[in-house]
Amino acid sequence: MSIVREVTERERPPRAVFVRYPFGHPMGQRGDAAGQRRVFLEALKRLAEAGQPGEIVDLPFRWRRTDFPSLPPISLEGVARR
Amino acid sequence: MRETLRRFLKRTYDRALAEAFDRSDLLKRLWSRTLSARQGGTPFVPPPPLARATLALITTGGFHAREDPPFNMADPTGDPSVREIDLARPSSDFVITHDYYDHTDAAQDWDVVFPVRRARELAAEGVIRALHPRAYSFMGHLLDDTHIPALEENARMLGRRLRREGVDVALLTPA
Repeated sequence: MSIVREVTERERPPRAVFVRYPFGHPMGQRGDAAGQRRVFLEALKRLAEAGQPGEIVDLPFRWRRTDFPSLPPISLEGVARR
Repeated sequence: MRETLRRFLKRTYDRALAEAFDRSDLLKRLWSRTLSARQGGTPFVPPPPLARATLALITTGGFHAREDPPFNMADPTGDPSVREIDLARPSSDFVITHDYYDHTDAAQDWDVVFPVRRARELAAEGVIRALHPRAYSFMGHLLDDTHIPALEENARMLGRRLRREGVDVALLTPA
């Protein structure tokens, strides 16, 4: 996970998912299991895809604004997951 | 008393500075330019299918068992050590030592930075094969290159251990 994109661009981990969330909250808000789960699934999706080393996937989620339960399911290795 | 006051003031200053960084994209950009860029290639190994993968959690959130030595907050250049988190133990056995982010939420809900429950749920659903029973925490504040050699050695040792223990993939979460 990445919450400071510039640092991740320099470090170039094998796979990275960037989310524009505050320090201490790369997975989401306190008590928001749906949001935390969605971020986790997005990270796993990146893992499952071929991609290129050093690529950063930018997640579109907005802190305290994204309505996670209303998002369409994510396709993970051919299976739709919420 | 003087030492206690000094540590309190340092902790207050460090947290205020971290808060300022958190709110400013400009400060983040300027800070990132002070960091040494990664040298050499990026390792890239295709993982097994997720449903057959054992996943380990690694964070820089400063978690450790109460009885373990805390991460060193007195050294302004940071602490490169790593702590093992036995996930069979209750979360109340662990604390967070990290002066460079507000961990009020993390202390009440680990999953904001250390998604143990989310990982367990995904394992129970078969999205991943299993969550590795031991997780690991670093403390992510490193001011300069002072501790980089030690950090890299700790990271390499951890990587070798995880491979020996059958871990296929790891989710790294920054604080």
